[in-house]
Amino acid sequence: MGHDSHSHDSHGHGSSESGIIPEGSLQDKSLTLIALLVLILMTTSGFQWSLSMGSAAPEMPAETESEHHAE
Amino acid sequence: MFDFSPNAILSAAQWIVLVPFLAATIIILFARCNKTLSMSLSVGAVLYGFIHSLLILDVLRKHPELQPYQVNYDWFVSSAFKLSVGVLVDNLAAVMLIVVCAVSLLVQIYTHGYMREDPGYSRFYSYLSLFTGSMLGLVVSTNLFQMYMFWELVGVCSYFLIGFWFYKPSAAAACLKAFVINRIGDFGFLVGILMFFAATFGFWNGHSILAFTDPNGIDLTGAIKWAAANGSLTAASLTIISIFVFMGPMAKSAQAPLHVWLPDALEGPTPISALIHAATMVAAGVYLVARAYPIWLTPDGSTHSAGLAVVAWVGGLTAFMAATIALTQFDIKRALAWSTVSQLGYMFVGLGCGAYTAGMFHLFNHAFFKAMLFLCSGAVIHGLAGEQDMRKMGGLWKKMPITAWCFLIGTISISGVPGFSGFFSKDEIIASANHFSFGLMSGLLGPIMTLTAFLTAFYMFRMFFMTFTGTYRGEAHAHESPLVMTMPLVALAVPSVISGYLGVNPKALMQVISFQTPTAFPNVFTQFLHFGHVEYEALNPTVMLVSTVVSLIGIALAYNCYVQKSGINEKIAKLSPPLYNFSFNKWYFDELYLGLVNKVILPLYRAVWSLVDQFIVDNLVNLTSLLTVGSGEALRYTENGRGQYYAMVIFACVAGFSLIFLLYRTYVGG
Repeated sequence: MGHDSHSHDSHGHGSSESGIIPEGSLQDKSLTLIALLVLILMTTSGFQWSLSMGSAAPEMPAETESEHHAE
Repeated sequence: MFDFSPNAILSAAQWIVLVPFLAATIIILFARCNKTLSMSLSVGAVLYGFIHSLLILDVLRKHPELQPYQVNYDWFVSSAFKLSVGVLVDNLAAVMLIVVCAVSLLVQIYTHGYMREDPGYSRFYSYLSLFTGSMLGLVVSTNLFQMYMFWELVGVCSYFLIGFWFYKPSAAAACLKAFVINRIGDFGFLVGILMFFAATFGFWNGHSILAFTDPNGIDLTGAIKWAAANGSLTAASLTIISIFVFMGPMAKSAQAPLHVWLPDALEGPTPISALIHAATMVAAGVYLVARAYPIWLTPDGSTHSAGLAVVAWVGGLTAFMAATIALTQFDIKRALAWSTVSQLGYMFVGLGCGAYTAGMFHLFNHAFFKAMLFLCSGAVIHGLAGEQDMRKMGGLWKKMPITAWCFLIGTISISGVPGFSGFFSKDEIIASANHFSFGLMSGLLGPIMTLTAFLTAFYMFRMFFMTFTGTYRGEAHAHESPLVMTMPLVALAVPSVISGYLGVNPKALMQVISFQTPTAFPNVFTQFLHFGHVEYEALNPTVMLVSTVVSLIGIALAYNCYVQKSGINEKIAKLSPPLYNFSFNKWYFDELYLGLVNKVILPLYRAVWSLVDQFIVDNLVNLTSLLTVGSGEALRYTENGRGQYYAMVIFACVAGFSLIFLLYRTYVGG
């Protein structure tokens, strides 16, 4: 069984990177805001898209099974 | 500002692909020691892509008459053919751009919280950028060869990311396994491409070869029609080609029997599991089938083809197999991985049954809730200091409320509960499977998919109940993740609920709810994304009712087993231990492959090595040296250093040659 050794049990092999960005830092706040922006943009775009069909769209005749699978 | 001209759209699409590659290059070369800069470059690149993807979607939505937009650049030109690279933007690409960019962006934001203490933080961001860029390049490819190139890049990036903690033997083995299995699939894919190219060679006539779409018809559809009329391609040979090409998606999208790499791919950090399992890598296989769909049809363009039947059956059997395996897994990520394999099977069933839109709609919905479920599992693992065993979890609802709510939304959605996104797309696929009619056993596909829906609801709620309800069975101090990790979960939870409504018209829903005779209504997703001419189908209340009932039974059974502790699950497991072990050991595929390698392939390899290398090659080399030694030995007696002897030999040679010349002139003439 695999074990996800994430940040808690990593041991720093093969890298010269140093320093840990603390929780609540400016980076954390900026990224949280970007995630919020993504949420707003996705929701707005989704609603715009769903409304684009409009209530005036023509009602299509029900397609029969034989028509769809005639191929 | 962004305008609506084709040049602006193509330029935006080019930069959507190029910017992540640039970010990856800069991080690798210059920014590896600066965590903030690495993260900013990587997140900024995909944020750019996300915003421009939304703009492209908006333009395509408002101006459907203008697309597809395409630009090609010559890559290799000869008298016989021309290889091109370019950018293709149409509705299919636009939907995939949104999925890849949105999921990748949220995963990268989450990564900051998850990997902040990891010393490989910047390296991880560079790989993420490379991976995202490769997938985006694949999405906008204009032809099969270009797609194959990005396909391989995606494979290489997954190798880097699965083996990110390469000092762990399990991670090193997992990335190797993923690479080898994908090589097998890719070999078949390449053979399929070459066979197709050979069959349609004369068609391209100096145009870009293997183009997906072309305004003048110099594309896959045109090539198949030309080759069929020309006699160089029959229905049978097209089926064989489609099966070879399908080997690529089988490996990349983890379909049986090339699925074994995906659960092991969890050795990589959880953010990459979310990215692989939701938006990139596994989605690439489904996308290829959708993009090169004419290859799987009959030469005259019908969906009633053997190629599509293979796709449907591989998908259906994989979906069922993976669902049975997920029932008994205790590792939270591993259980989710098997659910991914199963859901990908659903997508292939949709495409294989001719329900092109339903297959892609499930990919679209699944990307959001599966990414969220994986990120939730990562938050749980993060909050429990690395614990992945669900037997050591429980009662996390109060300690991780945001994660728990998001996980519940994802679980409800994937289980096919009405009102959530997974319900709408899965329902369409089950309906198409019920209508599937190719071959003797075709009537079984629908019931298999319905049974799989029941299993899905059971194993997903089993995971939820084992993790979040009851009492905590672990030792770590459980805690909720920081906002930078929970906000992406919330951002994915919203589309996990509402994205399904893009594929259904509210009027059609009202008809079903009010027990009226269903009629077909247009819906935005089908209107936007379809193959050939658009077809709307009425909702099928019977299928909806059956799939709802089986889902609710699955949820109720999971509640009974894991909340009320009725012990039914343990009794069933004890009733038939071989069946339980069969599920727990993943249908023994790994053991089968290991046995095949150890008992068949390696002995065969040794036999070939012994015969060809040791017997033939070695003996040929030995014979050569023996001849050299023998001739040298014979000639060394002639090298005695005496001038008279050498003069005599020269004289004898001249006399001999003169005699031969004389005899030749006398008897042959000249």
